[in-house]
Amino acid sequence: MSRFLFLLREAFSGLGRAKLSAVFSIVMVTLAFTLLGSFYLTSVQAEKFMDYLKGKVELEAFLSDSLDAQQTHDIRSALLATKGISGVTYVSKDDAAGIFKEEFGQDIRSVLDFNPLPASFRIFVADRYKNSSGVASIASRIEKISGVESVKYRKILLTLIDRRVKLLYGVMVGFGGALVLLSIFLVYNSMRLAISHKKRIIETMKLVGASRSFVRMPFLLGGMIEGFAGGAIAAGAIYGVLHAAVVLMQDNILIDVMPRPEFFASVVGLATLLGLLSTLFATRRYIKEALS
Amino acid sequence: MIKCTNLAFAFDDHLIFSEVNLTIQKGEFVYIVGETGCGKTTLMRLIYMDLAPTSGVVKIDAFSSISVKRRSLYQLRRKLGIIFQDYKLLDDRSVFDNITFALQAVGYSSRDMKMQATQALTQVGLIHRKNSPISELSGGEQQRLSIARAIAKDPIAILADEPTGNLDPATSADILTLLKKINLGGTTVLLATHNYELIRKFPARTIMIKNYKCEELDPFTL
Repeated sequence: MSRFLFLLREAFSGLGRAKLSAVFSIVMVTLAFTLLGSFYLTSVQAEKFMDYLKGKVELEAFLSDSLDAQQTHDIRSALLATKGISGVTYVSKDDAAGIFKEEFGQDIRSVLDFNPLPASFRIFVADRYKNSSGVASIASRIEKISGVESVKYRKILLTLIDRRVKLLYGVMVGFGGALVLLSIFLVYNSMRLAISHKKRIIETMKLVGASRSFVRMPFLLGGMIEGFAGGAIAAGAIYGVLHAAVVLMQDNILIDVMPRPEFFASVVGLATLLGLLSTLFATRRYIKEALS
Repeated sequence: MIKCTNLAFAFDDHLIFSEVNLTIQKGEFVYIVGETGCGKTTLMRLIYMDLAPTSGVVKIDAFSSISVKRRSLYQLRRKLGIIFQDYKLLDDRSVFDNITFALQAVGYSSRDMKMQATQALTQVGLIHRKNSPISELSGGEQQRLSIARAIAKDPIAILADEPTGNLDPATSADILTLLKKINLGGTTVLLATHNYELIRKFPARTIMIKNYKCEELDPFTL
């Protein structure tokens, strides 16, 4: 215990000696993880919204007027046997006329004296096929079923969703990665300065017989402290902003934006891990240099 | 207990030693002398294995320069007390903390640390300054403290590299008296110096580094 306290004291003294760079590192870790956390939350919300839009993805297969009940049943069977289709609903000519009346306020049968609307199947797609290429492949297979006159779906919407999802992931990986790299570099640099400030102590430790791991430990703890502090401030900032948003816009929030406590713990944990890893690289190189 | 066999060392093609053979028995007090730049410090560094010989071998206790792994060198250093001309003290700590820091680094328990530090400071006559900052100590006191730090962990040998280099003659004599006293307790002392007057005053086995080799000298002929 006293050994741990000693190492902790040394870690804090190391940070104190390179105060400016330690503060700068903490600020950068805070910034990086605030942005990363916000980014993650935004992307979760965006994904929820995309899922909501994708939930609306369905196809309509319009049938030929000349089909009897058995042929319609055969088409239903063929549809249900098609890969990627999770369910179908039959819409008869009368149902279609009813929907038309609901939407346009007029009974098409009284306007035209006959019902021109075809019977159709509303086709629901399995989740993994809810993208433009998946739906297109289902549509092309349905078109080949005898008795199906045409297939319609919201092609443009699907293409748009696909593009947006790709862009979102691209930006997330690119921007998030750059921020993480920048944080690693800054913590690494802060530890390099701390090591050069403590060169004399390192030399003394070496001469009295401290093991290499003992020499490294205060720096590793220092890096973890920087990461932890940055992560904790970032988590606090995200919580504060979200809490304020929830309070201020109670009625307008459509989707629950406040993440679970695990999210905040992850921000702090990842930032601490980043601090540890950056310092691990720095100590490997610079302590060896300081001792040579 | 310290044995150098056919030791050679060259730095950047510049030869410093060749064929150095030297044996120092447990409990001996030995001076290493020679002109400035002759390689006294290099020999010390070879002995505490901060440098690896170009050829030959250094053996100290159970450690051999041929077989020792760099990562386990700290085990050798724990058995040695190393003293420098520039003291290598930590300016931001008190006298007492300078010693406990060294003991903490080698794994002493909190209780043993305090006990050993108190004993060492008493032995070098600095116990009354235990809470003083380093900046308040004179040169002689700083060297005493560095000796206290070295002896606090009960080393088998003390390697002192020009420990009186920065001190006036009277203080140098005090330091030598102290090292002699420690040696009488059974600790081997190897002291590099170019202060021949001091050697004449405190005679002991003397080894001179000259023309890349070591030779034994009668201290009274210096």
